[in-house]
Amino acid sequence: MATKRVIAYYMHEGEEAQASAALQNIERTESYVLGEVDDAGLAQLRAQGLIVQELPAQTPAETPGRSFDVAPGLRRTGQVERGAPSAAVLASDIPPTDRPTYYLLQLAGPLIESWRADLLNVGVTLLEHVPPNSYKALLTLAEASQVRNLPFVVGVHFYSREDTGVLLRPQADPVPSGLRVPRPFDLRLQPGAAPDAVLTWLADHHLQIAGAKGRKIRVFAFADSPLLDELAMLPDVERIEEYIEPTLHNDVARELLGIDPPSANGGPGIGLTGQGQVVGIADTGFDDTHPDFQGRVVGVVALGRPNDSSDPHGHGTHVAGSVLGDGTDSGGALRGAAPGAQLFFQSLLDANGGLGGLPFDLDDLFEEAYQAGARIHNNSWGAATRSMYTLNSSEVDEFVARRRDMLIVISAGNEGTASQPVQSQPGFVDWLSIGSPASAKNALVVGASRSRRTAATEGLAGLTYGDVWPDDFPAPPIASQRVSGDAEAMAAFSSRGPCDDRRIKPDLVAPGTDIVSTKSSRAPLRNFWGPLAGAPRYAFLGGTSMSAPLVAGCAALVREFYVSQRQHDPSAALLKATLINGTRRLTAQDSIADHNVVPNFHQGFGCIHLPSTLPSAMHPALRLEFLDTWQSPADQFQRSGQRFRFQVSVAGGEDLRLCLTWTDPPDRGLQNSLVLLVQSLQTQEKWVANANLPLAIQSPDPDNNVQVVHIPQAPAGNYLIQILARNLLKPDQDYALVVTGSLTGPITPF
Amino acid sequence: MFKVQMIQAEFGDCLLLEYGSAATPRYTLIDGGPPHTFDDHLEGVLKPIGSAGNKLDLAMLSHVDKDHVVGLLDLLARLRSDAVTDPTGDTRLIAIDGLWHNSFARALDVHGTLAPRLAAATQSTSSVLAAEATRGVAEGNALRLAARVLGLPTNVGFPNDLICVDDAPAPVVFDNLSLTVVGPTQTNLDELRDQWETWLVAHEDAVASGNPVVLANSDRSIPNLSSIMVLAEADGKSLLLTGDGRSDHLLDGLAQAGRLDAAGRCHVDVLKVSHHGSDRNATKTFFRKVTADRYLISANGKDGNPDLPTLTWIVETAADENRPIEILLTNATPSTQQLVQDLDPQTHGYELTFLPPGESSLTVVLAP
Repeated sequence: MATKRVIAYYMHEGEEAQASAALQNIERTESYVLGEVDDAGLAQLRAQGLIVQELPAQTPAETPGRSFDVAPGLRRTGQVERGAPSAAVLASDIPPTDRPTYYLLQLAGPLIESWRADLLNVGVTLLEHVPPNSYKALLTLAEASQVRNLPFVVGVHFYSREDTGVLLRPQADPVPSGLRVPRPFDLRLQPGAAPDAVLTWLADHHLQIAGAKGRKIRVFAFADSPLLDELAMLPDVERIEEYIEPTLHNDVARELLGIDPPSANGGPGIGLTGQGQVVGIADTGFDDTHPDFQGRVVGVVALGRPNDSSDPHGHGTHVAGSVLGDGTDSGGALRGAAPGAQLFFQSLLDANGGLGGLPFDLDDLFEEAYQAGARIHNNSWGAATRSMYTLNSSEVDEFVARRRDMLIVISAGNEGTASQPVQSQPGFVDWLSIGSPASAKNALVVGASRSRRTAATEGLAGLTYGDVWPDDFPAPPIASQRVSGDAEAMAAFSSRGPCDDRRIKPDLVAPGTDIVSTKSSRAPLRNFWGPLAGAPRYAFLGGTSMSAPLVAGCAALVREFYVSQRQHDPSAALLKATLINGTRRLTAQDSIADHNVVPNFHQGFGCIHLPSTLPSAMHPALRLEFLDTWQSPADQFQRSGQRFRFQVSVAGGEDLRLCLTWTDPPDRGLQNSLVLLVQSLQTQEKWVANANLPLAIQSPDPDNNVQVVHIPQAPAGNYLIQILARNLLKPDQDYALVVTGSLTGPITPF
Repeated sequence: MFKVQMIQAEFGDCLLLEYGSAATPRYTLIDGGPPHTFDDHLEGVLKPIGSAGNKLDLAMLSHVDKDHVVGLLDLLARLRSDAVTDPTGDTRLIAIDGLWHNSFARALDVHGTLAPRLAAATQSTSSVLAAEATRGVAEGNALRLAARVLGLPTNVGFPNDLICVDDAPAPVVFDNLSLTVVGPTQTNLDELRDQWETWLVAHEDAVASGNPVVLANSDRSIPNLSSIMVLAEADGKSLLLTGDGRSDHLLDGLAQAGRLDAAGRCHVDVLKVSHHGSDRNATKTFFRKVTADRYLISANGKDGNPDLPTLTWIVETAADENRPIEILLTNATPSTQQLVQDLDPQTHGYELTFLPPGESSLTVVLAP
């Protein structure tokens, strides 16, 4: 009988004994047993209540970008498309003998500690995880041979040109006339590689260098240039991708939304205004004369136009109003989500109407806001890169990894289209349109749902998606649905997940059609979705651009809650976990198309919903408890297999919700993967986080750094919570856990 | 009555036709000018008209280019604002009965093949000019959307939602005004589509060779050439409205509409000179064939407009025939100064009239 390689997760010592007995060739960790079992043994273990994960059959060569393949619409160049390989091409597949170079090692399972030790014994440190089971390492030819002999190493291959790839947009395909336009490409260097050799090579080959910093170099080249393939063969180049310029995330909509006063998300009963919180916003510009912000602006900087941070476009001032406008000019009627918060604004608009104020490395953008005191940062812009994890995405992850208490909020993009569905049913919005840097792991990424507005006088609320965007939504049902009105539905233009490494995005959604917010006095009305009757300092706009700042404002409320009511300095991971934990599932046909579960590729983990997010007068039975370990090293994960166990006591009558998130080390795909398991100590029933994940290859979910358990109307009793490190490439790993429900006490060690 | 007001539109076009009678004047707006035209000038011109209870029979966009369309977008945005503020309409700036406008898709891209290539071309960060040239496409869509939101009827009476000579019904009549479409023809549009193809190739080659001059010339010219051109007639007087159209296309359209005489010529009382007097859109021969008593040029020197050769051709062709003419301009420019130096107005029989600085419009009376 065929045996399978599995991981058996145990929560109790008895289960460990059962797993150890049933499996053969076992490796033990503190929370799971790795080994082989036949079908009968597997069925028996599961009948005993163990959570058993089958490892995928070993494929000979895992390569970066392969796990979900390259997103549709992007393609790789390569030898196959180039016809006969030249001698130089063949040479690229032969590693140099005289010096260390980069390899991909494929292991037989997660990186357990004994394997890590064996690798260290032969002098090998793994540099980067390439999910599911491969790792990058810098090896000499001799070391590569040694590694190949380790029993748990099932594959070793030189990091070749195919791994580096060259990612291009489909428009780069030859068109009938033979379009030839030089395009910017970003090179990412291998970890630890010095840029000198690559820079010299570029200069020798007369490629124009547009910028270089850290591991990133930007060059201009023709999409069909053979030099790109030659570049991909350089050992120090990890990745090559076309750089696609970011735009405002209401371009498709080209404007506006109206903001339902964010009270609709929580109402006055939340009792929080974002007091004491500084929110950074990087956007077009800011109308600092608007009455709704007076006295709460800690700084405005001009990055796109010399000494000019004004807002002739209107986008930035509208976004700022959604975060923290206080409604002064409307008698308090039109307020942002956090009207007590303070603003640090970075103006990106350049003289040509683009976002030229964006720095070459996004770290410079976020760090400036961090230094100004911002701990939440809103970004309603991005590039249409079809769910690809780009260098910009990596820069966001890197920044949050360094500044673990800065929550970066990013709009998902407005690239949702039903024009030529590949994965979706006809008439519904297709997947894989997340922008970048929205594909980042450590950001909170926001899609757009519809607002409730229905009046023809309110923005575009009187029209259908087919009326406004006939090219993108040509067919029913979406074409005949109103732009706004059904708050259970998605905004059709909202970009859809997943990311190209299978991760769920957006994380959550918030209203993003016909949103009313503050209007810059310099911005013409034609830039908006519509005027607001009798209120010239406000206007309607729409786009995920408008959803993100509502969420950023809510994040300020959550942050105020932790600081003022819990005397806790929250990590970005905790804010993200708290907001995702409280979401509600949207129920309209298009919100659950293809997969009637959350998370899904349309609404992520659901729509932001403050009454089920934070305790308040609106929901007195709700109690929130949390763990946030970013400042307590003893509570962080040090090794694969390690676990922490806790328990909570529940009175019953409420949903029990748990959300685990962590700030993952940068690079595509999870570098460290944690798992959340819950068990009722009364019934012994177990829950695995993200159990309903669409198209899951494995459960527990190894692909997402957001792990959710939702037990509707959880029965009274005690619940065991186990958090374990399934695979830990880069210790130490902190985490945040939020638990809400009818809890009768704090989270206690089990 | 038949008058035309040239509204100060800097490097763009914005014209207001006035006809009917003094007791009940009626109006048609041709183009809205670039950013700021509406706020600085057009609004002030329209306000007293609306306040007196009069309306625009028609607003026409000659073509989707920023220096013609933005003022119309601003006007429609303003009307939306007025409508939501006061649904009775009593306080609105002015009422409009209809819109004429050719979308890129209807006019040039019926098969939808050009748009993707155009998008690809303009995604190149090295072709800012190309992006500028195609931005009008998006603005044309914005105009359609704004008209739809306002419930403003578009291209009423034209089959296929396309305004062109071949599909034009009989002249469209508003009171004493008659509008005859004289451009573009379907043949022109087919030809333009081929030229778009060529343009894309030229653009690609220009980028590949890094030749910014070729780029500049190829980029901006083509979208301009799909202008709707109209012959407006009232009380026995005629005004030829040319947008940014090409002179050979105008001659084609005039011929097809039966407006050329046996010698292939046409005389009108007033000619709005195409494309702000650019010498890329006309030839001396054209000004020999299409003649006028008065020539209107809306330009402010940007891109060299009006070009000195254009001004010279107009003056010389008139002088050759001893036709006294008047050239009316919205702004004095280096080329107008040079013209006066080169060709003495007295001896060459022409007069230059400028829209006075600081004022919003210059009125030309065709028939009192």
